[in-house]
Amino acid sequence: MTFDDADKKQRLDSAAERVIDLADKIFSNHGSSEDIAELETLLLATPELRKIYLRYVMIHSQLAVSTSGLSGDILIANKTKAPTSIDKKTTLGRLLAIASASAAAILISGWVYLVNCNNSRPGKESNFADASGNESPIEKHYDRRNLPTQIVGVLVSEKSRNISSSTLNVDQGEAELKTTDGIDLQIEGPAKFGASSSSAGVLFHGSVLANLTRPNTKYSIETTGLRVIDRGTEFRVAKMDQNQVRVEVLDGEVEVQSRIRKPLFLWSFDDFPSNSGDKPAVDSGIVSHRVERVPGIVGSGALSFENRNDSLVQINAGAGKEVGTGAMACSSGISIEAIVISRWDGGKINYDEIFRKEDGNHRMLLSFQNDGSPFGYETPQVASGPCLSFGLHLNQYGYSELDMPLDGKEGRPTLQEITDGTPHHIVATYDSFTGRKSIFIDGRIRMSHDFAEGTLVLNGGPARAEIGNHGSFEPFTGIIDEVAYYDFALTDEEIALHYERAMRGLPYYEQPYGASTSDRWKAITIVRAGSTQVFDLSSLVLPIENLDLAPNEEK
Amino acid sequence: MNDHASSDPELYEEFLQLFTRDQLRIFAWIRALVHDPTASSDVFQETSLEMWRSFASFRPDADFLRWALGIARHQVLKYWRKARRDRHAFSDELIQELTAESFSFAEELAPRQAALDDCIRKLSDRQRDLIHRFYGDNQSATAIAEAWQRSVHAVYKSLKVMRRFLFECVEAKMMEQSQ
Repeated sequence: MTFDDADKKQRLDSAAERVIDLADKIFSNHGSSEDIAELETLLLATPELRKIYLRYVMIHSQLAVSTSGLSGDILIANKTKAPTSIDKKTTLGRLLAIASASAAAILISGWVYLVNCNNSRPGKESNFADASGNESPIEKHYDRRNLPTQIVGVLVSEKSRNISSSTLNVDQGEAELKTTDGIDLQIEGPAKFGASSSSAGVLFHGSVLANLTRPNTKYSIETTGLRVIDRGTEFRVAKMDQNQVRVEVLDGEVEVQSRIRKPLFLWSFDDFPSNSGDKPAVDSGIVSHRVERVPGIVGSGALSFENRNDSLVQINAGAGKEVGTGAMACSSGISIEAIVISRWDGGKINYDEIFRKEDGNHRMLLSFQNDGSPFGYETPQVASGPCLSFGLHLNQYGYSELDMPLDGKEGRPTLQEITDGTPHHIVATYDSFTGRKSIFIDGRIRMSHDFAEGTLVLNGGPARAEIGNHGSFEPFTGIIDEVAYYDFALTDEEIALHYERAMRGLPYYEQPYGASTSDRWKAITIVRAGSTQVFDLSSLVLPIENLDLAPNEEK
Repeated sequence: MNDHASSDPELYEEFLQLFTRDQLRIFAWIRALVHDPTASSDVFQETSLEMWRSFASFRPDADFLRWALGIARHQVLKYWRKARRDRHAFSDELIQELTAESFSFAEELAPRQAALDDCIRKLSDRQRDLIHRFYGDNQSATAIAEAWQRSVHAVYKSLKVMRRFLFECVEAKMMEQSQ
């Protein structure tokens, strides 16, 4: 390089730096007319600077259409009927509505939906300052960050478009998804498929073909109570109707499994060290502060909370790095179960937490509240007042709370009934196969709300779960016992059975059991290459003791 | 109203197939030249409509993306001409140069997006949160500053640092691919 060349390069580098600085100003809406003029002079004078400028602004524009920082559903469909006309005056949203039957329009609407959904997510922009401009005390109850979400795969039909946990709707034709673990999936429409993680999916209806391209990869497809896990193969799973699933193995073999209906985590507090002193106690991954062990409602121990801000039980297990990871991350369903004796006063802005995991807007909680739902989280809307709240983040809908008013109406208990000094069995469930979110008290469903079938849970992440408090703001008043956490929705029958047993002082299950994060499924049979079997799902939703699944050869 | 829309559903299906494949690249291209997010959506809408109106003249053996960007270019120029009343607008000459130059990016749009997705994975949790908020949720810098309990200036600076990192990372990846 000659001196002139070096000098020229240095000047070009310096000018490029200036171009990028000016571009940043424009992106930030801080560009003055002088800045625009300077940028224009630089760009007109030097073609190389125009290239640099365009490459830099391309980063800005591609970030705006990238899903990497987004979460929520992607809606897709292929090959459907053509609209008869497109009106020039239609807005983009109107255009998309008219053409919603078309592949292109649905793809765009998926994108627009994502943006709009995120924009309208409750509480995102809210400040909730009081009249004096001070932050409301409500603010401290909720961490409203959107934490990073795990990427599970790439939608091939959209050319390397990354997606996080999502439900894919394929009206007709096929959609192709490559997981980050190297699994090729063809979702054959009409179908609804939940891409819940890079190694697992949930089939709600329709058919999916899985092809494992790498020798050591694993992939499983779950449907109601049944899971098909590969053993180095190519296989197809089709949900024929509500009760029948067909498994077809094209190469290798698969293992068909039924769900083991036990909790992921169970805290019985039977062997829990009492800790009312200053030092926290640590036992089996649980840290407790100023919590006293008392005789159990079930078993030998329970925990007593005396409405102290410094009383808290923290769970060390189950946290993950990103949303969608960690042992507490669920996708197809969830249940939170506990027995409580509550002395909550039902006062305004007085929260009593039973269970909570605060992963920003992907939190989950089961708590007594009376806050008037200041962030608009309540779904459905209910009259303000004391309620039992079940909060959960659902794909497409974002975070919402099923706030069950304690008003004595429509079968719901009153505040006085739920705080009458006797034990009450409380269960909150969500089932993606029905889209139903429910609260059960004392063995009976008391309130529910239906979301779209196939809507996945998106939870998990770095926060530690808490029992009996959240931070130091929401201390429980009373006794908590037998807290159980499941990665599926308990059935009405199971809940009624658990309640009946608990009221007799018995554990939820007749047979001795332990919670397990690894034993979630039990092998039923092997299906080998060239064969097809049909499975009856109707017998799979009973407690594990009653499982009687029998595969039938398809005729 | 398109005369061929109702009369030729096969043509419409063909259009949809091609449009579905390239729509995000077309939108990213427009967004690079029209910085205001709302305005870029409007330009994309007009472009989409115009593409459909003109699709009967599209030759099946031609490059759909280049054809689409040609239509998008007209719409971008139209936007800037209207915006010229704003003293903060680029001149017609510069927009002509930029749109012409950006045609060379047509083939690079897909690999650049893939490289960008790879580079995003290298960002810190905080930076990814920033992308999520600013680009995903369309939050303002002021709203992010409030959520982070930082100054607005600090948010803009973080955006600048993050974009710069991604720019250098994408350029390095594109360089690797070309070698």
